[in-house]
Amino acid sequence: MSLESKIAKWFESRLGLKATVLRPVPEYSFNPFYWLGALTVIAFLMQAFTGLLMLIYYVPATDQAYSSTVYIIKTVPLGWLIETVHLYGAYAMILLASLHMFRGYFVSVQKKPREMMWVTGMLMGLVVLGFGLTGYLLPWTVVSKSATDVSIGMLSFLPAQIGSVLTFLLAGTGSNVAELSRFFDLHIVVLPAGLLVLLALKMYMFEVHGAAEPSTGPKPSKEVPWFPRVYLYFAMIGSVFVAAVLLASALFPVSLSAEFSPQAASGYVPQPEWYFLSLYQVLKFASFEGEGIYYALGGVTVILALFVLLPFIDRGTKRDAASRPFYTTIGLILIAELATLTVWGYFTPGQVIPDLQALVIIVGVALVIAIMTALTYRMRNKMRGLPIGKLGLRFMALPLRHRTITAMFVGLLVIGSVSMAGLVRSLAAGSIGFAAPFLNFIVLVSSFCFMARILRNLTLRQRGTLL
Amino acid sequence: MKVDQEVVKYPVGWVLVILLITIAVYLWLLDLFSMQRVFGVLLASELVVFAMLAYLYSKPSFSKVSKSWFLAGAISVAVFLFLALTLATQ
Amino acid sequence: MTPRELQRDDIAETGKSKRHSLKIILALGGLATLGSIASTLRILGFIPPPTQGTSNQPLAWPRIKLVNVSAIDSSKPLRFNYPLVDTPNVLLKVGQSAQNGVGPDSDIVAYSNVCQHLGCFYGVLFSGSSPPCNSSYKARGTEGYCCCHGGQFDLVNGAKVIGGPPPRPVPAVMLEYDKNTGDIYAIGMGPPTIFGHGPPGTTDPALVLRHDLEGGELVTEATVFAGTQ
Repeated sequence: MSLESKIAKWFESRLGLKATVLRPVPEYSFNPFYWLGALTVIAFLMQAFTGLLMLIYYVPATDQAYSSTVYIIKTVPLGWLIETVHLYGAYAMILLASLHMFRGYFVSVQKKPREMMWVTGMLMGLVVLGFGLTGYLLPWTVVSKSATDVSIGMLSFLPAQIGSVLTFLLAGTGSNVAELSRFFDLHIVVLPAGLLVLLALKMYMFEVHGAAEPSTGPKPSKEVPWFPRVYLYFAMIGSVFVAAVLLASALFPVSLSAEFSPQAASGYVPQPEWYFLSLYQVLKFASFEGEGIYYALGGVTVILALFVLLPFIDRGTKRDAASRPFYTTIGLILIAELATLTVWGYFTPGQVIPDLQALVIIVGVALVIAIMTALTYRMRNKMRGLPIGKLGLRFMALPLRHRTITAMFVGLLVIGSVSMAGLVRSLAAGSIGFAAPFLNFIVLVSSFCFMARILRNLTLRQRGTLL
Repeated sequence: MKVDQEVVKYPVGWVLVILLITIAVYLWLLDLFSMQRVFGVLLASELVVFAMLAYLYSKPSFSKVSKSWFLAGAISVAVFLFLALTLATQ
Repeated sequence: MTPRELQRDDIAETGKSKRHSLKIILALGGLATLGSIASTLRILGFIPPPTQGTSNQPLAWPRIKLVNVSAIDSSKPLRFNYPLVDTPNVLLKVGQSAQNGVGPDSDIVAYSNVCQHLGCFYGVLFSGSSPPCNSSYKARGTEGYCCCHGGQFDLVNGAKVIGGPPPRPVPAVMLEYDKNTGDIYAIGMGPPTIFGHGPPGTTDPALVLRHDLEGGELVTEATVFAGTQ
């Protein structure tokens, strides 16, 4: 027997990995969507590695936090690279976790028997957001401390018993020293421990159930042994991911804003990081100011709870997206709203959003998505057997095949957006008469109708061949 | 002939491995203070070369290796190495 | 065998050796990649420079006034911190001309109070007395006795090790006696380095200067107080 088989056999007889973690996987697993969770774990390992290296130099004291971070970036060789990789890795981890969740949502992994995996995964998502919140404070810059103060301030709106306990756990007696110390402990001990426990739980359940079959129905596929193909596939996508983060870090190193001081913070409008911007934007709506914040926080909690408990709400047996028009539409609306709120929030720092404007944008986005999805489903029902992913791709390739109509569509989109903006502005500024908003409204509705008609004709025009 | 196709894999594999070892050794020997950005770009290129190697051997036969993906990887590595060279000689 | 069978055998043989070189290629590639990721740990070789009061000044022993010779009693050793605020030493008058001794009778000596074995603080015994941890031991002269493991230093003869596990004498504090005023100054440390500062047993004077002064604040005035031993 050759040397490497002897070594492999020794480990196999002690660890028995081939029967558990390194089991043969089905052929359909060679799809990047199946590995989003694994990539999130790789991102976490990257964070742990860079975080440990920074731990050698970082000091979690209010008078040394900023200077030690500057020391890492300016003096320690490769310190800037480690700090930047840690930041972009955090963004990547949150993005990957979200992609992993939404992919699972659209192919309905949360149905029996994986309900508990979904709930565990959602809890892990909350822990990951917690990492983002706690880690952001640690450099003690004007930007990060102001944003954290706003987040902690929101806790005071919770009912007294919960609010005061949570505030004490997160910010201590309220002094900066207590807050930094607690956030640091959370970031390096409590949250990692929590994440690892939840990860172990999820991995165990994954071993029991295996990867979810494709939602369009179980494909009879042979099982592929882990070595060498699966290991190589994983090594390949993992390496490309880390390489991408490294390259971005080497080319766009992080730069810190000024150190936190009350004077510096007084002239600055606090904004949370992009992953919290959508939530923050909701809180900026006029009706949620003051007392109304309860409704906002309540609403967000309800939506979150619905999402966490999705396996127990969506009791249908079908898994493929084509058979779940309602949930697919809801999912797409959610993604569109989150994106809209984030971009919108980026452009309106510190501003209170008038209610009508908020209503128009939220409902408008939801309507557009709902109509587009409905159209796609109508098309789809005329062409059975095509998986929704392929349909979506061909849908997106349409513009290239029909350039004139695409140009018209884009033109109408521009006109519609301009009229929408005019409508919103005139509503927000108070009515400047009746003619302007009415005209904008007419233009908006007509361009919308024309766009819908174009879409419908495009998709119905060449039924079998194009789509 | 099938054997001829597979035969291409091995020289390519050896070239990639030699590149991997060279970059790895260089990463250990370069001056850490003056070549920090070079370090970052080289480490990224090392990972891409490894991904190419893994890709090359993950397919059951050479005919299934998508030449366009492989070429994309090779071009990226060339770009990274060029970037590293420019940064190093700045 | 037919030519066809021979050809098939050939292919099988080359196939086996090719699979072998495949494994070598992958193993080498994987190791090289892991090695390159590990090269980020090179930053651990960067050790920040020691923090001192002012980093502009070159390293030098501080010159600290300790006591006046009249305040030293031959029955009481005095403790003081030098050259850092957390490196204690013991100052005593041994009553006979001693190695490193200053003063009118060359009998005032000072030595680091940290044992060179494992860093415990030793006590000072005068001739005939016993340490509190070992009542059967009787000191033969003025000695340092370390209660942790029974180390003994002869404080008359340069803190030579006369018993127990310490591998080398404790470093002497270099003293200067001002004849006109009677004041005693601490002006430096002799070799070896104070326990816990730099590689154990370093004797090169430049390295002793560097290591003894790192990792703490320099003293700016003496804190001399009477010890019980």
